[in-house]
Amino acid sequence: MNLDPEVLRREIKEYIIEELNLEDITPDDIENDAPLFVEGLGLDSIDALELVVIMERYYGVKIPNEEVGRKVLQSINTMVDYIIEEKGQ
Amino acid sequence: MRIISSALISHQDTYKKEAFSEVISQETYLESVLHPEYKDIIPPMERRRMTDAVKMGLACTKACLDNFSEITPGAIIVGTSMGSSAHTLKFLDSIITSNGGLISPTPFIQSTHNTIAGQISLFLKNNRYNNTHTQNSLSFEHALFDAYLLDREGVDHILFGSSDESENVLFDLFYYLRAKKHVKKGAGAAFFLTSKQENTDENIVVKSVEPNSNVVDTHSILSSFLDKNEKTMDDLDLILYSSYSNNIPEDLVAFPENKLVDYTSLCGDYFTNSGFAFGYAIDLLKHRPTVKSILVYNNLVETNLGLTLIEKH
Amino acid sequence: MKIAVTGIGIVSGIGLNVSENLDSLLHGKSGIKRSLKHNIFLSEVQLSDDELKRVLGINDELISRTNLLALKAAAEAWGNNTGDAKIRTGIVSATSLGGLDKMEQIYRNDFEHQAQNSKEILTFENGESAEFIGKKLGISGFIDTSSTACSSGANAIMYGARLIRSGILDRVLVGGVDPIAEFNINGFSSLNIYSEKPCTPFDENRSGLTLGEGAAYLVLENDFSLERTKNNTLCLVSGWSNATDAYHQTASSPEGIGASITMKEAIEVAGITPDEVDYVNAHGTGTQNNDLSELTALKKVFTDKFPLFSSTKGFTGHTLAAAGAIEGAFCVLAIQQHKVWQNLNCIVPFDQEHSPVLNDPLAKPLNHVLSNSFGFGGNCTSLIFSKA
Repeated sequence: MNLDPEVLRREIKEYIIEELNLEDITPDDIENDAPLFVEGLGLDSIDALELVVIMERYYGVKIPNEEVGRKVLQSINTMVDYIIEEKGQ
Repeated sequence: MRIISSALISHQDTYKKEAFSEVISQETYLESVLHPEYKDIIPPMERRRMTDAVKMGLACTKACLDNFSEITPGAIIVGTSMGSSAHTLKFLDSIITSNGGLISPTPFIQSTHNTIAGQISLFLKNNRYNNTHTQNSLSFEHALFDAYLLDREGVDHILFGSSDESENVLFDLFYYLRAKKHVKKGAGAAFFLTSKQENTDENIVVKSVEPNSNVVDTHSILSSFLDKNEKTMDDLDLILYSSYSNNIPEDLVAFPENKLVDYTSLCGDYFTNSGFAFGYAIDLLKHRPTVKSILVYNNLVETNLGLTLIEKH
Repeated sequence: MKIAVTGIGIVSGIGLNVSENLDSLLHGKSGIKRSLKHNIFLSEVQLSDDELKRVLGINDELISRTNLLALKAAAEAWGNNTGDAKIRTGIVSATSLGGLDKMEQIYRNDFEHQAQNSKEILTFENGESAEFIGKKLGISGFIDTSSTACSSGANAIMYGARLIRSGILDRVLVGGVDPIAEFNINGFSSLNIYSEKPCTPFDENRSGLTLGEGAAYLVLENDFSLERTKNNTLCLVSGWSNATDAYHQTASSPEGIGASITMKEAIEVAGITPDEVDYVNAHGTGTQNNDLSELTALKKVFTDKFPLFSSTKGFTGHTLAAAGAIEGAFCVLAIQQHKVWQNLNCIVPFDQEHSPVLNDPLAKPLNHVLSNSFGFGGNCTSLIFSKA
């Protein structure tokens, strides 16, 4: 697995757009540090579950509980950091 | 019960098309549903999870309320036979392929039959009565019946209708096994708005609706329906019918053929196509002066008979 | 106009008929066990499909579990009632899965090719089980199925009551059914609201729902029908209401918008005041969201005198479209037995001042009992059962 943060950022954005059916949005529209929920991209609680599925399905990374989920699923950067942290070890 | 607004999405050019009944025919039947541009109707973040059944329902809701923006529907009632069946299959697929791993929840959420009515309530921010009837070929008639009851109970501005999609194999298989005829696979949605207020000039009124299941003798049901409504066959200007076979239903053979319309030839076979017939009848009543009384005779499934009498006063 | 309940039938994880269900309620016996097949906690009906067929005398190979469970409960409720041309009779049933359990089995087997000639697909349609009950019990004409997810069963009862009040029907068989299937197990798991232990409604540490399966049906009659059938009145259906939360497709609003509307309106329809409600059978699924939202709504509606309340899902699990019907039947039993059912598995109520009934079934004369059912799409329904 390529753990280059730039590659991961790009990939995750593409997965999010596809799995969450975000028509009319390109990877460039999603900022790396912007919040994914509510005021940022405007995702909701169901999307949170979809993001957990993406993390497990494509990166084999589990999010064990809501507390971790809240921290990890803040932005593209926090998701990438978590993957690198889990996989880099 | 008076109908003041209607909207249809079908295998014909019917969405927001006034007097479509004068134009459409068997020849203008399209291979697939003529969907409106949902992008212009439903915001992207809301639209992205929606199935066709939901999108059609919402687009029809919006069209029904176009000229009545001040109205808050007193109830939302939907009839659907299969609901969002494509998502039901999608979720089954993902259970099989996931091998115990995590599964995306979206198709599960969308698969419940009341997603259509639920999304309409969310879309309109409507807190009122909300029900979904699923009784195969009589699902529309049951939604109409519920509206009819609510109207009698004093509820005004009831939004009711039906929606069924067909982007999957379920309906084909299901209907294929029941029908005794060549099946023309259809899909679509039809929604309507009621009012208690009488118009000064013309009113389209639902006189009576009767869904009947486990039927053995359609003839006696039809006669008693007409008796209850103090009608004879001669009082009817048109009968719109569907049949489980290729033939004109026995009950209707004595009726003048030029006053008989097989509505499945116009909209295709699907279990809520009597919703289309109902909308077609309303359009005809509005635009053809000589037509004042129409019976919708729904015998799409051999043991089910839906009878709906619609009139212009 | 009086709407009498004259018969009930129940099949659930805590019993195969009314008396077994009653016995479990009286003795605090839960039906929730770890399922060996699914490796999660479930409240399953303790009869296989083949055993149900034998009990019901059915030989049809293709029948869904949904139909079998529905007929088991419906036949018990219907009892010795017979066809009577003078009594206008109908069925309002409820299911969310329909015959999906059967579909699931064939779907795994090269579905598109094999199903072409398979009548099993016929069981998929949601309305099929209502027609099936009708055929077996000799009921034709008005047969309808309500499908509003987890409030479906309550909506069927409400709709039956409305059909009688409007003078459309004299007698209606109402209720709901849902089986356990891979579909709903995986569905609620994917939403991350499936509890790893037996559900603990209204507990501080509740962590989701436990699925159950079953069916319940009630026979409702008007005076005209009662004169002819001479059936005993068990209690009355006196109030009902349905409203929508319009907040989120799956979650309940934190303020309990829909739930407080339906409870208030049902109380109005019954012609009573909130103070007169003696017991509330809560929806109480055991999810964080539902129980908080529901208790908030209860506090809004019952401002003067807070009623006794409990969720019986610790007994039966969440039986989806059957839940409103099973819990409706439990309300009938509560009135008959003068008992308030206990809320199993709640160790520390999350709201100490508003605790559900925790101990042995409480003996109490009950005049009016309210039952809540909420479903996806923000669908909320409240019913009121009253002493005859």
